Amino acid sequence: MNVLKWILLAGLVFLLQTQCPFIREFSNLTVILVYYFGLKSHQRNSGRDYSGSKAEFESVVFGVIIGGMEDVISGSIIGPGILSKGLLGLMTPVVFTDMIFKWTPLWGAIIVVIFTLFDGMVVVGSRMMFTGVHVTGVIVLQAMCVQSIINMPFGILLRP
Amino acid sequence: MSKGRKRLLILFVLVSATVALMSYQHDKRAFSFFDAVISYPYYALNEFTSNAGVTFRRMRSAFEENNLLRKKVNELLLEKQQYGEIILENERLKALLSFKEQEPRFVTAARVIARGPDRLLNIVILDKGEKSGIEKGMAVITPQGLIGKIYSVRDSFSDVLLLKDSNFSVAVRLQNSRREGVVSGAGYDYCLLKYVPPEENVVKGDVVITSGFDGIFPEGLPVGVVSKVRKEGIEFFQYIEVKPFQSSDKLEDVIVLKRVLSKN
Repeated sequence: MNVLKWILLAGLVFLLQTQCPFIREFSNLTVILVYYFGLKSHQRNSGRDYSGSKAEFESVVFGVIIGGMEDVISGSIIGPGILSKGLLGLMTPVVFTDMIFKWTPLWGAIIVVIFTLFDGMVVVGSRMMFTGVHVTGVIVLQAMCVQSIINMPFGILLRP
Repeated sequence: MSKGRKRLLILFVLVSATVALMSYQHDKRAFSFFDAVISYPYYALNEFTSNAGVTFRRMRSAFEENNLLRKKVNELLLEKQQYGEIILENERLKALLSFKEQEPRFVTAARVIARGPDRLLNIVILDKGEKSGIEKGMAVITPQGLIGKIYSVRDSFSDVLLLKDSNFSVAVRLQNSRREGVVSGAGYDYCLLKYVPPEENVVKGDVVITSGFDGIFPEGLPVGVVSKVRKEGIEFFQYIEVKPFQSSDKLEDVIVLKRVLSKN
């Protein structure tokens, strides 16, 4: 049932991300999806003896799947999305186990902003490196900043 | 394995695998099969949403067009109704005009503009009065038959006492038998033909016309048709109901005629 829930949620996110022009342009819901999965995975496994690595592993796998789908849909090379979302999947539980310890709305918002910027940088960097495309840094930075600001409320709303 | 090492291992595997993958593709694009298989649902979805968008836009356009056409149809129906009214009016006026040419006592044609306010009197109000030459007691008719007589006159309006009013009477005769009598209003949709003795053979369907003996109405105007005859249970005269040719509920344009015994 839990798997089905995440599949449906992922489907919904991809539907919105690909079909809704505003979200496609100004938001990055896949980052939010991986972040939310990481939060829930961390919460699910935190009651156990030591299973931080299980949560991290689950989140990485989920991030890799989402990133892979994103890469396929993007029509470019397969890899940047896998790398960025995989890293986000790894970092989400780590942030809340080893760095912050306790989730607060402010931390949630800050982390979502950082994650969105990080995701954008990894994807753009990988594409630049492995496909040879050239992008104007300022424009990309602006787009990433807008995306991170739009994503920020999710960091407040989505709690573990 | 410690927590830190596990993390490092995951990180290493992830980064090295993706970098290797991207490097491989950088040299040779080899994932067209996966692209085709995995991205099929995406393209199918895109096509679906695109079609849905087009359908929605078409529906909206059809809805707007439908509203516009409905409005247009309503306008056309209204226009058609107006044309129908004009045609009917034209026919009525033509009949009035031909009547005017035939009838030497013609005074004026007038339009019924209202029903009388007095519930005790069956009166209609005409849009013409003294200024148009109308005088009290003049006959009011339509090409179909007798309507009534002028009851009162003002400068620009006049009241017509209708045939069905109980205060109204007109000298008549039966068209076939030439028997004379008097038609009086009964207050209903029919009138009563009075003073016809029992020995006179009156049947349902006999036509009643004016005789002209009352000095008001010209001779030969159609009044109505006999609708009921009763000879039983009467004293001196038959009980005869006459249905007027011209219903007083459907009056629009009327003709005013001079009295037979006119002052002029």
